[in-house]
Amino acid sequence: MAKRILFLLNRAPYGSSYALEAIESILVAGVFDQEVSVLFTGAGLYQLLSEQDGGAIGGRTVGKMLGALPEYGVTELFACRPSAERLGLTDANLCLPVTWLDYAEQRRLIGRQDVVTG
Amino acid sequence: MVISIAVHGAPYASAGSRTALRFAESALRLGHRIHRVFFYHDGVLAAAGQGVAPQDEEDLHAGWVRLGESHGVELAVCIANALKRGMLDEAERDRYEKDAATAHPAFTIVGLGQLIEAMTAADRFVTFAA
Amino acid sequence: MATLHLVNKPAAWEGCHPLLDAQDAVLLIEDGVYLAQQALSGATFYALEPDIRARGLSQRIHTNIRPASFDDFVGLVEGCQRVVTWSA
Repeated sequence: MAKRILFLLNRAPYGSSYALEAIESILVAGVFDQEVSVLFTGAGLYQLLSEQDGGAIGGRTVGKMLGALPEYGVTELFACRPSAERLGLTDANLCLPVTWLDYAEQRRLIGRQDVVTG
Repeated sequence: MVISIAVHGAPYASAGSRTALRFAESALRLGHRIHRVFFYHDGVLAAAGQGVAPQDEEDLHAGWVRLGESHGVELAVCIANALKRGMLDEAERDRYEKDAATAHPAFTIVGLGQLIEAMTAADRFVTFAA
Repeated sequence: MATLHLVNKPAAWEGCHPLLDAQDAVLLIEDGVYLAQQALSGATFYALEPDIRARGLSQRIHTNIRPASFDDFVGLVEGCQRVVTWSA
């Protein structure tokens, strides 16, 4: 039986390897036929910025890795609207389409999950 | 209750490894089952078999080994995160022609599929952040 | 209890707080117990007792926050439907 798994991404992409390694686990979750969704919140929204180039610091490009999510069956991509307003980000800044959620909608999203992890 | 645990922080650098160990010990004492402890991110360093803890400080690595060996808890280390941080078992040492197997044999080095299986096979999945 | 939230650093509170449901519980652990010095609202609050004692906070914990042992921690996990871990 498929489980509903939510990955909560709240870290900026290049200050540590957390974002990159978390995305690797999300891709695998997609392959395992689970009901996977991702919520970008706080500084985690910076993972979605377009025009990233991880090569500039000798690493992979996190935005490009996120671009592979739909191919792996992970299509439920949500982002925190209040965080985006605070950071001055809109759809035009992002490399992937996301569904914007206010806090009440995020509470409901969490309330539907079997597993929430980072 | 069947519980799976994820440990994201390195022992000593982060409090999470110790908190996770205490939580697991309590859960077992209360009669629950730990399906798997999955070490991810810097958490993989808990497997370091060559560490020497100071006498007046808890040996966290030994605590995890005890959990694995005395209670039969599966200690799973993410292979991708482990290799780049120098955590190798004998098979990986041979594969990459390195000098030493650095991971204690109580830990098994596994693929990320085991993380997802840990989530699906348990009643609760508890992440201990760095 | 619907969701058990684990907060392990004061900075993690900012992400956690807006997403609390009245049915939820929050367990403050590690440096998260420094948050227990003030009244917190939005859920039922616990703080991990060994972490409180280690940091010398036993006399400073606000009355609306209940101390919890590791056995209580396991009980909270059993009593919830999911655990959300906040970090920063």
